[in-house]
Amino acid sequence: MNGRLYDPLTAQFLSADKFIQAPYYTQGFNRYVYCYNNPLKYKDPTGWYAINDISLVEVNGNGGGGSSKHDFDLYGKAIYDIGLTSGSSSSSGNYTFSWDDVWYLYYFTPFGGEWSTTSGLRVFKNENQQNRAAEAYNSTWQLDPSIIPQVTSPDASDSRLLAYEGLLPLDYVVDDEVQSGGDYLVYTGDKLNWYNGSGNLVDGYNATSGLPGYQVARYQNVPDAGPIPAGTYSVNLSLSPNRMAAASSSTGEILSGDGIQRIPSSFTTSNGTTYIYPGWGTIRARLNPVSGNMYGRYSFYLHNSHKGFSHGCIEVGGNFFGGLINYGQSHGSIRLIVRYPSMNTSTYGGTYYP
Amino acid sequence: MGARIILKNINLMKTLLALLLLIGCLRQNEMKDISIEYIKESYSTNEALQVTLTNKTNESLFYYIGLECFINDEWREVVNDINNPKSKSSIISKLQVDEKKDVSFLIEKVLQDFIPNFDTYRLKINYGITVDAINKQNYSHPFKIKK
Repeated sequence: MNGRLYDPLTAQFLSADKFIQAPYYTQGFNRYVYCYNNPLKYKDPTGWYAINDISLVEVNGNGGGGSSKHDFDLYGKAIYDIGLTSGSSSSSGNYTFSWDDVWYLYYFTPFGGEWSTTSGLRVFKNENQQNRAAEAYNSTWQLDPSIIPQVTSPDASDSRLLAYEGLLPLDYVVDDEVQSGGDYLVYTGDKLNWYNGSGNLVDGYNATSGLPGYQVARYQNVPDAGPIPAGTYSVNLSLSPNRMAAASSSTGEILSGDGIQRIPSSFTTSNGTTYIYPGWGTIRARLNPVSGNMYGRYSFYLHNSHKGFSHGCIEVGGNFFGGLINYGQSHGSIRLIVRYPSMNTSTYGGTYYP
Repeated sequence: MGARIILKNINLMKTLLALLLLIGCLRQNEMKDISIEYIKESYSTNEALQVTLTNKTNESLFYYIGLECFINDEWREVVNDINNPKSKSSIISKLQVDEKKDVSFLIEKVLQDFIPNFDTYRLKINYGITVDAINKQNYSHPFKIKK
């Protein structure tokens, strides 16, 4: 394999995979195994990704905005606005390609929005990348020979993530810091899962992000309503014993703050108005973006309210913060990865307790 | 003699029934510490929603009003506080014993642009006897909002 050396005696790779391919699939976290230990179903000619046939299934017909646009489902992951081309004519319907037919598949900046020009997907059918089997709608991107070398030498830091199929990089690339050890958190839409440094699931908590009506991964670019954008965040675990979030003396709103903070039970402003903070709960921890497209959104937190909605923060149920505070006694920070299995993933984790 | 006894029993039963009804009414009032009156069946977004709250208890109550909508066969909260719709904080008001208070708010100001086009809503009164113990709820009759 081009990417990594494979040891036939142990039936494992000699180095760890740079990519966690499927965080919602336990074998995806074992970065030394070949094809999730299922070689009959998958193959991995590059060493980077397990692959299977590519199936593009049209789910919503013509998405509008042009005769070549269609919405497709690819291995359960919704891909929007894919225009299939055969020569110069557009067409629609369901398509299945075998690995032998498809050589390269690009995927650019997931979740750019249904009509965004920042997202793109192209599948090439032959080795010289001349005949496109499928093309995502992108009015600005053109086939550029300078991009081709990235296909044969995947770069984990390249936001224009590409893959050799199998699991499309709605699984985005996890950077080396996460994989170099230490626990980490993965938010998958309705659960916040806690993994130890070996990639084993330690605990899971119900979690919600976004407003009702927008609690679906594809709305992550909607300000004040959509769920938290996919990406990597760092949580500062510093905590003072009585550290309390501060409230504005004029507006009563809780001011932004880093680390783990308790929320005051009430606060009275200088003009005598009293506030309480049920939308926060009793404790919060700020999420500092490390990578990913934030769509101009900012100020995300984990917090333990039980409203069943947020304006982009992650509302976490159970005793998540107890574990976080314990972990913070021996660690300065923890990484949180927001990764939605598909754009149709629900981000409501049943956290409403009236 | 027999007829007189029967008549006496009937009167006794009537009295008992009246007492039961009275107790029932009293208990119903107990269950609704804050009554919510004058909710219409439907509103348009550019309308003001006006209700009257009454404290039915014998102590002052602190409260704020949220908004719920009916989605997928369950009630879900969409606005924490109608006086502070985009915020995680709630502005606390006080309702004295037996006080009636008219509450009015513009629907479009509460829904703004971020609430999707749900059909059925209800107000959720969160209240308690102290600011730090707002842990009870009462709900208005459901109403429609036509966008």
